[in-house]
Order: sequence, then C-alpha cells, then structure tokens
Amino acid sequence: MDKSQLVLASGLTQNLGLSLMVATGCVFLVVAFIVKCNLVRNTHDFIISNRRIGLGFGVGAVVSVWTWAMAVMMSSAMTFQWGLSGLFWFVIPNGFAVMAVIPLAKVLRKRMPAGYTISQFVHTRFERSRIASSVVTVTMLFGIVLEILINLKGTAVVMSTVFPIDWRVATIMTVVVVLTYSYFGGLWTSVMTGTLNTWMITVVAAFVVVSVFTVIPGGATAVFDAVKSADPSKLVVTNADAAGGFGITLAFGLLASTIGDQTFWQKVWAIRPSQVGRTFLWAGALFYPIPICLGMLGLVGLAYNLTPADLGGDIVAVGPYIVSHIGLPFALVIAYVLLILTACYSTIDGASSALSSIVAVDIVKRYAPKTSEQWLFYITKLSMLIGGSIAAAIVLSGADFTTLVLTTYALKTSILMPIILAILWPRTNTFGFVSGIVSSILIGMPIRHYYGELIGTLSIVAISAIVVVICGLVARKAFDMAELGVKEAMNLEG
Amino acid sequence: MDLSPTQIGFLIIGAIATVTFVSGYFKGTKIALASYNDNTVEVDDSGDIQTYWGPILTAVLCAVGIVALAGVHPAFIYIGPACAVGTAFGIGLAFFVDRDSNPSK
Repeated sequence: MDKSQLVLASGLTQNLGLSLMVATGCVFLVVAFIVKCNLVRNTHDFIISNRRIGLGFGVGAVVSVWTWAMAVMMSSAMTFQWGLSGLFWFVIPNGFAVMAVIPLAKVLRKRMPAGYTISQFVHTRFERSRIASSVVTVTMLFGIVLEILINLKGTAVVMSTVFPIDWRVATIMTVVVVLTYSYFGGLWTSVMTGTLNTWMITVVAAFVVVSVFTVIPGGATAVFDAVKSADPSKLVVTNADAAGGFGITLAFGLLASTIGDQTFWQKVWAIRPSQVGRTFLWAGALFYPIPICLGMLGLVGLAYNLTPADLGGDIVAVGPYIVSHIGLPFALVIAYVLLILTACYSTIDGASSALSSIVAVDIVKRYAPKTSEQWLFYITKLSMLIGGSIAAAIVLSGADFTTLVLTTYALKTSILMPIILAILWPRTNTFGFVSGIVSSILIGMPIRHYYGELIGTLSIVAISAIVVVICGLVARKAFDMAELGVKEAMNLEG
Repeated sequence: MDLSPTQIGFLIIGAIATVTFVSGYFKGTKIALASYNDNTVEVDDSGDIQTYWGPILTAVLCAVGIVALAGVHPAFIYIGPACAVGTAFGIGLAFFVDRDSNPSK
C-alpha cells in the first residue's frame, strides 16, 4: 500500500475549526442553562447532583470522563506501535480499571452514604488527620489540573494539526468554552453533556472507522494482508514486548487513575446508591468497544507503512492523520474532529466539576466551616474557573510539565494501595497510611529513576502496601467503620 | 458519495442505536427534572459484590476476544466498530433498565 496516496483533505479552514469549537460549546451551554434553572439550587446540587443520578446518566458520564482525548488517539497509536498486542494492553486494563472501582464504591457508599470526596473519607477515617487528608487532597488537585491540561493540550494539538489554527488560540478557546458551560450547572451539566458526547465517540466513531476501511482499495482485507506480510507478529495479542514496554505499567497507572481520582469518587456519591455497582459495571464493559474501534486506525497506519516522521514526529497523531489524509468525505473528517473535541470537553468539565467538590468540602468547609451557603456556592463555582485558568496558563507558557506529570504519577501510584486498604481493612491506621505513601515515594521514585517504569511502579505499589500492612499488624487496633456515616452526615446537606 | 453495503449496514444499526440513545436520554432527563424536590433516602439494595465478578470477567474476556479476533480474519476488524455502536445502544438501554429511577414510585 502506497503512502504517497495519502493527501490532506481540503477545505479545513481556520474559521471552520473555530466555529466547530464554539458551536459545540453553545449546544452544551443550552443544556447548562436548562440544568441551572431546573436542577441546581445550592452547592449540594452543584457538586453532588442531590445524589439523584440514575443508571443511564451514570454510565454515560463515567464512559465520557474516562474517554480522554488522548485515549481516543492513544488506542490507534499503541496499535500502530505494537500491533494488536499494543491495543490489547491499552484496552484491557482501561475497562477493568473502571470496574475495579465497584467493590470499593459499594463499601464506601454503604458506610459513608453522605460523603462527597475521597479525601473527606480519609479525613474521617484517620481521626481527622490533616496530614493524611492533605496528602490525598493535594494528589486529587494535582491529578485534576493534569487531567485538564493534558486534554487542553490534546485539543490544541488536534485542532492546530487539522486546521490552520494557532495552538494557543485553540487552547484559550477550549478553556473558555468548557468553563463557560460548566460554570452554570456543575455536576449535572457535566453528566448530561458527557452522556451526549458518548453518542459522538461511539456511533460517529464507528461510522468514521468503517468508512476509512471502505475508501481504502481492497478494504479491510488489503489492510490485513499488508500488515501480515510486513510483520505477522503485529496481528497477535501475545507479544510480550508490549506488556513489558508499557502494558503492565499502564495497568497500574490506570488503576491509580480511577481509584485515586475524585472525578470518579464524586460520581460514586452522586449516583443513586442502588445503581452505583451497576453503573461502574456497565460503564467498564461499554467503554471497551470505543478504544477497540478507534484502535483499528492503527492497523491502517501499519498497512501504509507510515513512520513517525510522516506523522510530524508523534505517533499519537496516527488516527487524525489517517482520517484527514485517506480521502474521506469532508463531513466525516469534521465528524472525527468533533468526536475528539467532545471527548476532550467532557473530560475537562468532569475534572472541573470534581475540583469544585474538593474546594467546597476539603478546603472551604474544612478550614472555614462557618462559610455561608451563598459564599460557598460562589467560591465553588469560581474554583472551576481558577483551576481551568491555571491549567491553560501552564499549557500556554509552553512550560515542560514533566515535573507535574512525575509528581502526580508518584502521588497517585503511592496512594493506590493505602486507599484500598483504608476502605477494606479496618486495621489500617493513620501512621501506616501516611508512612506507606511517604516511604513508597522516597524509596520507589529513585528505584523508578534507575531501573525504569515497570520495576519502579511495582516497587511503589508494593512498598506502600507492605508498610500499611506492617503498621496495621503492629498496632492491633481496628477502626469501627460504622463511625464513618455518623460523623459525616453533615456538611453541605440542606 | 456512494455507500458500500458495510457502510449502509452501519448506518442502519447506528440509527437503531441512536433512536434508543435519544429516547433513553429524554426519559432520563425527564426523570432527573422530576427528581428536583425528591429527598427520598435510598439504600443500596443491589446485589452483593460477589454477583459482579462473573459479569466483570465476562466483559474482560469479550474484550480480549474482540481484539484477538481482529488478527484472525479481516472481517473481524468490523466487530470493534459494531460493538461501539452497541455501546450507544447500551447507554440508551440503561435509562430504561433503571426502573427504580422514577421518583413517583
């Protein structure tokens, strides 16, 4: 298959790109106004949707926040780099990470029915320890800012690649559009717009991918034969290199990304209790086809023998490159851009909404408990604007955010096992929780630096778990989990 | 633009999924709006965690199978996109399966 046949589609102007960004935002703004007028009375409604989210919106919201802009593109990129083994190791832990929340969510929702945030749980669980809850709060804040800026960056890359738009303009447009509609309705807006977005990343994505194979002479058979003749190992899922190269590390990283992310915990407490388990089960299972579908574009990249240089040096661009160069009708190229755009919007608004819950519960109400409801409502909404602005400023500064990525990685991976044990094992104590996190970072990060991601990640996870368990066994004191509900039936309710 | 039979097939299943998705979405929105003043305290009466392991394992194995099949025969490349359409259908269906979501009950 001759890659010289791949030519960029024409008609992709700057005005068209900007119009798409604004038009999508306007549609969501209408949803936000309906939500604001009908569903949001106070901070409680804004950050936890009065705990009335049902199965449909719950599943849609979880699927949409989990489908990052980068995830949409990474599935194609991993297939392009490693073949189907890459897709296997990218996809399988992704859906499982969502379903892995179920046992923890069911336990916490039962024992702490009026909760809002995971750091609120840690605060209550560990005798109001400021150190323990602060570590978790900081981890959540770092994670949210990173989530927002990665998706801002992803949108900017796609929009500036497909359209002649300056990436800085694309970044500012994205943050303005998303924060404008998120500001009005909080979690309900995020949930409703996110669910709408899932239609784009499923039905539209499927039709675009099928159309790609249709316009290729010889169709799927030609692609399959070309990949097979070039390198048959790219068509099997048992290539161990992919597992060692990124798969196992990614699996732990993804688990930390759901269990250690307030975006998901906010939904655990916002979904009606009888639907929490089912929501995460359905969401995990229904998420799987999305990256599998988009991953097939990676096979097309392999069939055409594309190189990273063809893609501008970044293999993440393989999906957008194929779609914009394969000869698809103009409307389908636009549809693909829109689906990436909406995937990005829904992740940013979900993260912003999670940020608002942390600011309200873990910062304002904890350190200034007498703050009036009216002020709390304003501060909560304002925090979304501030968080988005900080993320946008980091992206616009052109700063290398490796430090932020590494810090967030270290914190999220190190709190994974301590949080799981805190929820499931009553003998987990404050000293063990804090020591587990601190020691795993102090010992694990240097190991990661010298021995690579795989050994480093396994070390961090193992050290944090072992320290927590040893401290729990030594102290011989069990926490009464029934106290969680009694202590926290307060705060923003009413 | 001439559509291939595969594209036409996907347009049809996409339309079915879209109808289910949209009607579910409207049902969910109606219920959400009606829940504004609903302060019923609910309890988790869903199954024990043990009831989830089977479906989780099934979902993981299905995903493994779909990815693996794409390397067996070119026709299986289309299973992923077909299942993605199924996701939209499933989300639409979720609004109807959630019978308890009607606050008037």
